[in-house]
Amino acid sequence: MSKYIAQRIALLIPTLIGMSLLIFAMLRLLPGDVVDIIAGTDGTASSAAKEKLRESMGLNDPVPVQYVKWLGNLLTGDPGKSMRSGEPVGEILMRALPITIELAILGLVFSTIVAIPLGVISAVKRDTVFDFASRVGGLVGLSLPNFWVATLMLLFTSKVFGWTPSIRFIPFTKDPIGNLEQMILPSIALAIPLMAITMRMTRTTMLEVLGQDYVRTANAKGLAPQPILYRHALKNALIPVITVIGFQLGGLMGSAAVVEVVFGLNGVGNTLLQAIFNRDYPLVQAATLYLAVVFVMINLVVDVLYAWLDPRIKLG
Amino acid sequence: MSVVTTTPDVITEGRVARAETPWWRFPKRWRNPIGIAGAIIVLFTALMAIFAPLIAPYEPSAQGAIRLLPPSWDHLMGTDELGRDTFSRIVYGSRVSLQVGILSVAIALAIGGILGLVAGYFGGWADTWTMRLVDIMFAFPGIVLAIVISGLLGPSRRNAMIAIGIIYAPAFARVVRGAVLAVKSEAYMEAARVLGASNARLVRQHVVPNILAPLIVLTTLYLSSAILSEAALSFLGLGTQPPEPTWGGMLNIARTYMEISPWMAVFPGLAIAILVLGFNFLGDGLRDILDPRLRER
Amino acid sequence: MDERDNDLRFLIDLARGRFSRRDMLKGSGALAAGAAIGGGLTIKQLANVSAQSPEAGAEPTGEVVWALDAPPPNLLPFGAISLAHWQGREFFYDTLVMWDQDLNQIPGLAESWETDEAGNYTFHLRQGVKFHNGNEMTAKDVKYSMDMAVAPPEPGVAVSYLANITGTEIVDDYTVTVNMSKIDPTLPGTMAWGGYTPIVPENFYDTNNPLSEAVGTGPMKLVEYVQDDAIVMEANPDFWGEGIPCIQKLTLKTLTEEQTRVAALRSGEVDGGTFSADVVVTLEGDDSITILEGLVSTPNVIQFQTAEADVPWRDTRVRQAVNKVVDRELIKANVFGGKADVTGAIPPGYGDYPLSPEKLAELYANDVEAAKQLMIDAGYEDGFEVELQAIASPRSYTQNAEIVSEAVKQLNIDAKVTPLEIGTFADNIGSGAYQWGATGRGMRGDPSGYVIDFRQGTTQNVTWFGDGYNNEEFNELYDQALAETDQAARVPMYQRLQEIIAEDAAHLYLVQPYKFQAVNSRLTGMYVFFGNTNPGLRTACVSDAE
Repeated sequence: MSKYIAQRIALLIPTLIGMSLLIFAMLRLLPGDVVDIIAGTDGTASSAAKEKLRESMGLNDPVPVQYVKWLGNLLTGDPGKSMRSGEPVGEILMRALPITIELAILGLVFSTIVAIPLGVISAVKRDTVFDFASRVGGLVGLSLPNFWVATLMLLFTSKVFGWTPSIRFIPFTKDPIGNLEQMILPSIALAIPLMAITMRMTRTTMLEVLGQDYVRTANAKGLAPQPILYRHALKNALIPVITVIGFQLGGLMGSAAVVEVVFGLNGVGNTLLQAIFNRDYPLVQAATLYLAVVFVMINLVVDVLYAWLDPRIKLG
Repeated sequence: MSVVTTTPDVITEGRVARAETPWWRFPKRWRNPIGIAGAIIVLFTALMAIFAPLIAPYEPSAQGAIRLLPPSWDHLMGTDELGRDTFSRIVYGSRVSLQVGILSVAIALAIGGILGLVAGYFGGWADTWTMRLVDIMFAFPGIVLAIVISGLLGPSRRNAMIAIGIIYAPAFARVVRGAVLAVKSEAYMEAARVLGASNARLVRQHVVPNILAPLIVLTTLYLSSAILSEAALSFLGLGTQPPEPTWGGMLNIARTYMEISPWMAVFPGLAIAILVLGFNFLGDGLRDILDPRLRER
Repeated sequence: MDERDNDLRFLIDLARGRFSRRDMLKGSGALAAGAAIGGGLTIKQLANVSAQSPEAGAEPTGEVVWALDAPPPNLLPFGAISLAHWQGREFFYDTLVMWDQDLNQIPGLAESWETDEAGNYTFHLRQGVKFHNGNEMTAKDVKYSMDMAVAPPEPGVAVSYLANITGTEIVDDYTVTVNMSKIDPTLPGTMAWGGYTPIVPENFYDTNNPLSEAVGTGPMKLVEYVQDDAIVMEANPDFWGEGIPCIQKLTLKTLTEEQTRVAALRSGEVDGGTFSADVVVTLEGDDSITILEGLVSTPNVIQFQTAEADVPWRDTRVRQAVNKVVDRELIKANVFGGKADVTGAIPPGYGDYPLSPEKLAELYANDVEAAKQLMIDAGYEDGFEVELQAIASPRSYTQNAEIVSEAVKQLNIDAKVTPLEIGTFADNIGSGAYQWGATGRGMRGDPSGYVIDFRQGTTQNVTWFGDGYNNEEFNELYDQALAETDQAARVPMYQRLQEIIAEDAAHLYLVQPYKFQAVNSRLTGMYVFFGNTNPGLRTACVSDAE
């Protein structure tokens, strides 16, 4: 097991180097740069002045030189500073991070507590109206654009209840109730499409387990249906479900951007978006790399967890 | 590499042992009401797209009418903020939505399929490096990719499709690779190889047919995601651009008028939801029908 | 009123009680201590008492949260040009000359000023003005600031508006002279505009981080700056203006989504923001919200790139033909819900300089037949293909482009609308990489700023027009108007310059939209400013009448 983990972590390195190269090259290919954002294009700033600024920001260096410089700094623990505010990129991300992590986790919690019971019931009451309705309902949730659902939620609560979540982030450590009050709507908006996936997964694995020999045996032995369900079936059925949920967490970190924009939350996704629109290269590079690392790490943890939970799976 | 893929939907789902069911519980595999409903929706949308000029009462870009009209006999779904007929735009928009869905998934299929086939079939060195590349693509936040591509090439339908295609490619690569690995270990492959069949022939005659089923299912499911992704890109101002009528774009613009002219948002929203639902239904149904592990039973 | 309405109201009350922490606290009379977020509560309670009489000498009270559409990139005082920059820092800094609500020049940090024959300006400074750090403002600070404004350190960028300044001299502690290389009537206007010449303490760049810190003489002091998120400010008790500031705490919060701003305004999370004409309609009829309307300097324009050789629109007749088929009234009605004015190069509201509506109607009269004839004369009766780039957000620019694209179909011109994300668009327009562009102009400190680009040889003229457009009458008159210090005499000159632009259809000016700001009714004294910043918040007060 530990050899496997070490191997996986070793494989991370080429992945991350590849990532960083890709990000760097792509950003430099984008037309426009941060100088245009600062100086505008109204003709108020002379092109000579802009060129001078580019020069001193190092934007005129050959791209490979810029890359090596950046990578060198990164390896010494300095991901750079925002080209706009001069704030260290690390600090910006550390501020945005808790918001996105909390959003993703809460979203997962909401989707899971709804989806797993629904999936189990669907499987047990297979091909009944309940099964049919929850499957269709799940698919409907999966079919609605996220930004649309989020906007509707906001407009609805503001119109009907005269209430919207706070627009400044309230850290959980400062005010847990205020924090949850603020995060509940955005995380539900994030949870809706996930529910369908988790539910479907729970339903199928549950069906599979229910059809396996030991359950049938238990059934034949005359054990009551309830204990079978909970003691044997559910535990085994949930293993693949857990992995799916784990993978969702990785993906959520990036895809929360739309929800963050609608709810005015300054998470990683929103930060990344603003940074891209403003061509704030160091921030984009760091945020992307960070999202990638989180994604890869979560996948690794899930893989290991999966192997540990289900000994039938061989690693390697 | 681990045995787990990040798109376990197809691979792990459907390993369902079917018990005998009474006739009224849709016992036959092909009598799959959800799948059929999906097929009907998709077919209907396709017909709408093909015959758009015959169905739409107005040119989709004609700005003849009063703006923000409610639905009436003249304008079945009302008019938009520039006085264009919403119904006509929805009808023409079906072309874009279908095209975006199909072509972007085709791109994903082409890129991912080839990568997965190479990795799975040749194994070893090719597998390691191809899958590293796939990992990189997978971990790359889709939104960055989409913004970079649209910034590079300009936001447009074509570029949104390219972006979506590239974002989805790794999922296809993994599924194809997994399926190929499974097929490779089958006895008849060994037999064919021993009998001296060429690589190309092996792939053509044995591998491809056997991985077709999971691919079809995955494709249908991703078609729906692609349509939603296009809508999300439009929301961020990076997808298909006006004046081209697209459901995602219409829905996005309609948010501004949500309260004074809700029908402007209702119809494109419904159109997206129904088509996506159609693909999801179809995918769900096809999975029940086509999954090879089910076929043997 | 039927039962359902009662049910609904009950639900609303219930929900309010459950969800709104603020209401709960208010109901029980609880006062929260001044924590970062809950801090407003105490202050709001106090505001009940004193906001009724916001007269001179009263303590600043109350908290205002204002929603911005775009995040201020930083707080850099000099050489940062974008509007978003200005909106972030306008409350920290004052300038020597200021504008009142109607764009009249009024004394700011200078009590008076005069020019000599050579065009040099002498400013007599206000005495006893204190910076946020407690130091008094003197001529040394003004000289430092003006020097920085002329040659801003990086990442600031020097602007052409201040190019005629040769240096600033200290006459005595409270008098400075700004020397000019030639007569330039634009300086006071440029100063009043506010964005380029804020007054900072001497050696500010050495003592502070100018990107994220702010020390000025303005009515608000910086408490916290969070990039892409919010700027939190508190009242400057030593502010030199009487009765200003009236509010104790001001937060600028970035909410890029308009629907989010609507929802937050309704729920009281923000106290105001800017909204589009179509959205503001939905806020009407809400007692707790007041809608403010005003002209704002954003003349929308379609511009033609004529620097490139052989493009059909280098022919004046082609541009004139396009001018004759573009219906400004349709744009006004469909893009802006009627809430816009037809405009020339200088937008309505900018003093006496704009062209009259009658004159504009004459210049912009639609005549499809005449337009077709012009196309035939120019040899383009079969039309041509052209790419019309537009700013994707705000969407109104793309909508303008869509209407123009539909209109020129009558001339067989196939104008493909390409909306672009602002970064890409800005780069393309700035470098001249476009054919037609749908964009808007911002505020200018002086009328010349609205027409400078049509003067042969100026910075942007080279990339936008090249040798494709060059009108000698325009060039001469432009130079003449810039050498005239009598402001009244400049008016007819700038009007004629605008007529030339319209006659030649050098650019197609369309309409100037109104700007709408919706504010919580407890906010009083706010007004929509012509120049795209929010100086109204300097003088605004809050009264908690809830």
